[in-house]
Amino acid sequence: MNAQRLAALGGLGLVVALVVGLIATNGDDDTPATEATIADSASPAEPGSDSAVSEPTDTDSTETNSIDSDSADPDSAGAESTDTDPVATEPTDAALSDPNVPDLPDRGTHLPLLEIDGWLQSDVESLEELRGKVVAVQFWTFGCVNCRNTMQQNVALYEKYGGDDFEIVGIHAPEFDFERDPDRILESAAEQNITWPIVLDTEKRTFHSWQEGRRGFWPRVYLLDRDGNVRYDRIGEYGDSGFEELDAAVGALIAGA
Amino acid sequence: MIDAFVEGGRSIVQACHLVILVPVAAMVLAARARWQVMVGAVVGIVVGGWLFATRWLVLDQAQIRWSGLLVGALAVAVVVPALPRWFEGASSLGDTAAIRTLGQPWVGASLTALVAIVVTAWWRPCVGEHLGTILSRAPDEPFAQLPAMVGFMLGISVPLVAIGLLVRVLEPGRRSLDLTSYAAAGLGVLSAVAVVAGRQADIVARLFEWSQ
Repeated sequence: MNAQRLAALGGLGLVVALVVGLIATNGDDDTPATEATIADSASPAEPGSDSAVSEPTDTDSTETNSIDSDSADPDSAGAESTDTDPVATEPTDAALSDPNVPDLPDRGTHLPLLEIDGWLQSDVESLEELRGKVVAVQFWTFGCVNCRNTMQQNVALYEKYGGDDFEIVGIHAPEFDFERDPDRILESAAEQNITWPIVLDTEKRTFHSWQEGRRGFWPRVYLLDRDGNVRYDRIGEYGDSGFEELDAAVGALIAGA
Repeated sequence: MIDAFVEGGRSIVQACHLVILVPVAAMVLAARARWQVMVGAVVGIVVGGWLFATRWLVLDQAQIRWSGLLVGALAVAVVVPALPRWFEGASSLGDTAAIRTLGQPWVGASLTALVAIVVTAWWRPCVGEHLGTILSRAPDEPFAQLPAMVGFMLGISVPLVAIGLLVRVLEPGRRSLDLTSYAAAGLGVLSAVAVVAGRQADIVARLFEWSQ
């Protein structure tokens, strides 16, 4: 056996050992650290109707067709922000000084929901109605494993903060045809304890418009402050450290960061 | 970097990376798994991944189709000249211009790195924790995320290195190696056709679904 072949054999042995090691350890750390904080029964902070699909409202239609709408125009968006009446909350020092709080630059008002097909599990019919709350907008689809891996942590976040100060909105942007069925979305939502409002973005127009750079990722979460300004976003699963950062960001925004 | 490498290595069981691995593996096999070409493949994947994460290289749909045409043409250039010889039952199919070109170590390495960078722009990654952090932060802090991205892309390159090393260890006969090369190039052609037809995302999505 020549030297090159011997080197290749040694290299291959190392690679095989590496792959076996990776596969053997896969799943060892799948349990999120936040699991302990999740209560046994998931009680929604603001339960909405379970099955009815709300028709898109005039607000949504306006958003759809108006490129120059308030939400799309940073200047007018700023004006709109002054019209809102955020819930007055005294900043909480602990939340603001949490070392996990990431930079939360103001990136301007969120984009509109484009040509959506309605809302599930919600009496709310537009993001504007949620002004005054910190809102986590998550793009997801129920067949996406990486999305599923965030849901326990979303539930924990919802139980911790949900109520007058915080809301989660899941924008369901299907990747496959079978994911377009609202009944299956609701079925999956029930399985995963998703009780927050769901927006149907069946044609993925909102999905693509919010995610700049001609690329869309599942999952992706945006945090909106009480005025509807985008302050934070994260692509992919949270893991432990990502969840700590997200949790701290929500806390800081609620506290008035 | 190590965590990202581990996440990348574990994610090789998902179909999301096939769009990168299939064409690049075809290049490696077509070049008879030469060391330089294997290095070029891994370097190309790493560089492509970093360009992807920083969004310094973002192709629109038209550009993706054009790049699919180019990669497809390259794969066809490998396959087609050998077909008449294959039907004649020649014991060696490898003596074609394309194979000879790929066989020049540094030409093959550079070309493979280039193809790897292009196909990484077609990528639709499954985004776990570490890749999520990289993709979220790389546009704003590209150099800070470079080590982690290198780790992740090295992780997904493991199968490629394994294929190359396997070829070198087994030292298959010339005809077997030719057959493997042309089969891989054929997969490269199919991959390019899927990209040009705009069906690549659907195919990857289906494969991902099956892999779960």
